[in-house]
Amino acid sequence: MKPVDPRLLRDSAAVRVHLGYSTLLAVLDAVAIVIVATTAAAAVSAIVARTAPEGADLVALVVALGLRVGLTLAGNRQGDRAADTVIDQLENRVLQHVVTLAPRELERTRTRATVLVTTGLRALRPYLSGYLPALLAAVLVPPVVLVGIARADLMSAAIVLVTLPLIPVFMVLIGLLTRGRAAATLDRMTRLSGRTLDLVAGLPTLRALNRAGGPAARIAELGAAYRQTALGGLRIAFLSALVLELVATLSVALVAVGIGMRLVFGEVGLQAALVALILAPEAYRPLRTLGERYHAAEDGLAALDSAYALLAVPAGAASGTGRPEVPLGVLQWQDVAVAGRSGMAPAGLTALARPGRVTVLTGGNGAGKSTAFDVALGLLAPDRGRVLVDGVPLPELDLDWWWSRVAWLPQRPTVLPAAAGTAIDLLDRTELSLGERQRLALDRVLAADAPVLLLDEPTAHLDDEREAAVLAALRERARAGATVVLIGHRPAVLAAADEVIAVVPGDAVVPGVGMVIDG
Amino acid sequence: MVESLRSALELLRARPGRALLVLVLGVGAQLSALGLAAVAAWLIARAWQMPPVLELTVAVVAVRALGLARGGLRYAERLVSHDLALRGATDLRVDRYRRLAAADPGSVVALDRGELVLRFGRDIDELTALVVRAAVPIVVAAITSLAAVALLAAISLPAAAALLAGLVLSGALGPIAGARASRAAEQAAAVDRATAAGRAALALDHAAELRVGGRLTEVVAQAAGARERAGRRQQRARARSAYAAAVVPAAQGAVILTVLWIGYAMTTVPLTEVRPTALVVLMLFPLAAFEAVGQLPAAAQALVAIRAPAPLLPVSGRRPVELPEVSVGCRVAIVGPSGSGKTTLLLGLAEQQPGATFFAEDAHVFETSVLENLRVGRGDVTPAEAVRALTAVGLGGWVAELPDGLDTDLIGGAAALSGGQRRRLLLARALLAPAQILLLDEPTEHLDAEQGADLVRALLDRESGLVAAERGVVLVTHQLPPDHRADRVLRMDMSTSIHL
Repeated sequence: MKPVDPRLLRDSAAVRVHLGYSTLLAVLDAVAIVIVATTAAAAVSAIVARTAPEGADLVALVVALGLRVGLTLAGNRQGDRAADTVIDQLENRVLQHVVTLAPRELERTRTRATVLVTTGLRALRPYLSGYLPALLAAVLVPPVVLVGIARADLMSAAIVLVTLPLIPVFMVLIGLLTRGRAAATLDRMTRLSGRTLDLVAGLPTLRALNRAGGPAARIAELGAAYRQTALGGLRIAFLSALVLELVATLSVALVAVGIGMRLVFGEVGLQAALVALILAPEAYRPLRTLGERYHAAEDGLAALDSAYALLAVPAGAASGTGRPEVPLGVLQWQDVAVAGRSGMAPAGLTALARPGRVTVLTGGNGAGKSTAFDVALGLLAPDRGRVLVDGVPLPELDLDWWWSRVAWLPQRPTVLPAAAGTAIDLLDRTELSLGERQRLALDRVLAADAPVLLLDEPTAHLDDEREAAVLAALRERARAGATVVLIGHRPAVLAAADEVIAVVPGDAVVPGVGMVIDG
Repeated sequence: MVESLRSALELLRARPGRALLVLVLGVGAQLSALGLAAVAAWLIARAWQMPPVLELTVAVVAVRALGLARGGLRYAERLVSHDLALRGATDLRVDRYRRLAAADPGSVVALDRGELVLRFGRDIDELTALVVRAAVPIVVAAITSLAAVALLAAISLPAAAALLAGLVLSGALGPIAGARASRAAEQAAAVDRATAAGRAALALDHAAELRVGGRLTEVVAQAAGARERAGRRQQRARARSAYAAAVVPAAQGAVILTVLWIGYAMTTVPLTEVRPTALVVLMLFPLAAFEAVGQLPAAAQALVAIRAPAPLLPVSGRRPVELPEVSVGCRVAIVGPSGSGKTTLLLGLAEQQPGATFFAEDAHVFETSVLENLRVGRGDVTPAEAVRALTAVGLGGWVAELPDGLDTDLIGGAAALSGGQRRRLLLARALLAPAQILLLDEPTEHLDAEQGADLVRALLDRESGLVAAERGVVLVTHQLPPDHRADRVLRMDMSTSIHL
């Protein structure tokens, strides 16, 4: 992982301000640490020599200790504020972008995007408020501390100076040795826990069939396998912490032994020895803090990567500016083909929907009927052919204008009321059955005074009686001059049509045909 | 919070040997660090007195050994504690699974699968993470802190008291106050966060529909607005957690000044001989002692952040219905508008009628092979039987085209299938199950009208051969073809009207 994501730095002024502020705090903190060590050492050596510590030293010590308290306070508040701002901005950006993707892209990315904008990006908080300041401290504090040690005892400073770079060197070595390992381990762990949760999710099904007895043993097996895999990964993951601690504590020990020996021979004074002893661990502490915060930051960085991957997906249809001279509501599919999972669906749909008529698109599962609507709405660019609205090809059409003239009922409609915030919004959506949902959505589409109606299986989840009522209402709308296009395959729906068009899938090479079965 | 800590400690108690090992390693690692600080201070002070070098040998060796020990012990502690936590997680999962598998079928069958996955996945993961992040560090810090205070008490009781006070402040009060404040911040923002999440999910789930309907910008802006409100509330509540974090350096600073003062006071009392080694250890040791409580703020955060796991059972809200008489060999169709309780009725029948098995509309498709998915109903289904059943429900061609035929893994479970294929596979599973009476909930929804009608006809026709004549079929459907051959059709009513 990159320590500071350059994209974040480029995109977010809040991050840049945060980094600047954290730099200032880290330098001040380093200075305070050196003052505390120097003055405390002076006081201790004075006391050991049975003299009163100097007043100036004590004042400086109190001030420096107070400064550290203040810096902690300021750093915390600043980190929190920056994290909130940055995360909010990212969440907004991702949401704004993802909702404009083409339907199939959105389908693919929806789960990821939902997780990201609701909880996923929140994981950036430890990265922004914990890891980044620690990173700056790891770069800025050791040199200042080193100068502090050097002023007291050059030999100790030399030991620290030699051992300190060992840490990043070892980190890089460990990183190189274990590269790819972590990803493979994580992958295996994800699969094992996926299998466990699959069994758990199947519990109601198994219980219904009276076969829930077996999987408990399997869950235990999977758990053991998961544990072994996880521990294998952790053995490597904790290596870097091990090296860090070993180098840090061993170096402190070396410094202590070194000055001890030189004290015996009078080569160094007590005060200088104490400064070196107090400051030596402080040179390594920022690196250890950084190591501790690394793992918490990883999740956030993964979320950030995921967010940037989503932002890089090109947005769906772009709107043109054209409007037909005479808006009539004539909708034309000309040889429209869209590449799907298995060949083209639709594979060359040619159809004409006119005002005053009920046109029904029919065909088997996966024939591309709903896709034909997506193309007609300008949400999806076809791989071949085009759609014309009153003679204007879709890419040239002003989509906002077009959408203001269409009432569309998708396959799984939302029950968002006519105006957000009205009473129905308080209805617990989960309480509604599929049929009730369908009816509410139908009410809304039929209430809209749009000249073009596109309805995807409008009578799904409805019983015969309601189906008949809906179809009658739709025929009524057509008679009043609307262009009504339905997707459906039930006999009642087909019977309500003025025109039935079979949508057929095919493969990419064979030019498909839209057949008019019944005119 | 206390409750979750207790559960985490219980996981530790379940394997006392390992738990003890974890504590020994953890305390050992911390004491190595403290020991290093104390011995190094002693070494410096003694060396300053210029004794024969030999007198320092033990201290020199000890300092180096302690420098090595800390890292190694900490590494071992982390591994053993993770091992312990993962074992605990598996035990807990198996135990909960066994309990549910033995529970009343009516309530288990109706459990929400997403909810189940959360309870078995996230909840248990969080609880076991507490072992590593909270339970172990808290116990280790308490033991180590006491050891540090005891060491100081050997030199000066007042200094030991000051250190104890400082450690309690920065190890307990500070972290708890900080964690509480950040939880309060979360709670203050919870309503707005939920609104933001709800609006975002709405926008993402129905982006195209909202966009065409001209409502998308509004919904996205609502999400952003709620997010901003949440942020503002959170900022206000978080201010306190910054103060809590500042408790640590404040307490440490106060202890440093106090021990300096005590050290000075000890030298000014006439006619007492204080050894310089004791003085230096007294005044330097508190600098290092605070490391013992360094992990506690994170531990407190983990404790406070954990959600109280919601109870899984029971499932409520089932309306009592009058159950029809059904018998082995019957062919019954149930029709009626959605929401009229057809599914509830089937669930009731499954409980009341021996040999009757409920096949849910959204039954689970396991992430395993096609054959194993059919064997969910009956373990000894042969490949030939499987192919026969799949052909009967119209999946013969599909399975023949699969790369590994019946042994093809359905990656992602239901996600590997179209809606229609899934429905047919579940139907094949039901046909192969040993049930005497099949209770089928909307077995043909999402199939093409004609194919769906054919299947319903065949299921309701004793002579069709799809279901053996001596087994019973009760099925719920929206679309009953007029020429069906069911013995009985039950129409369920609900007096609601459609507003058109």
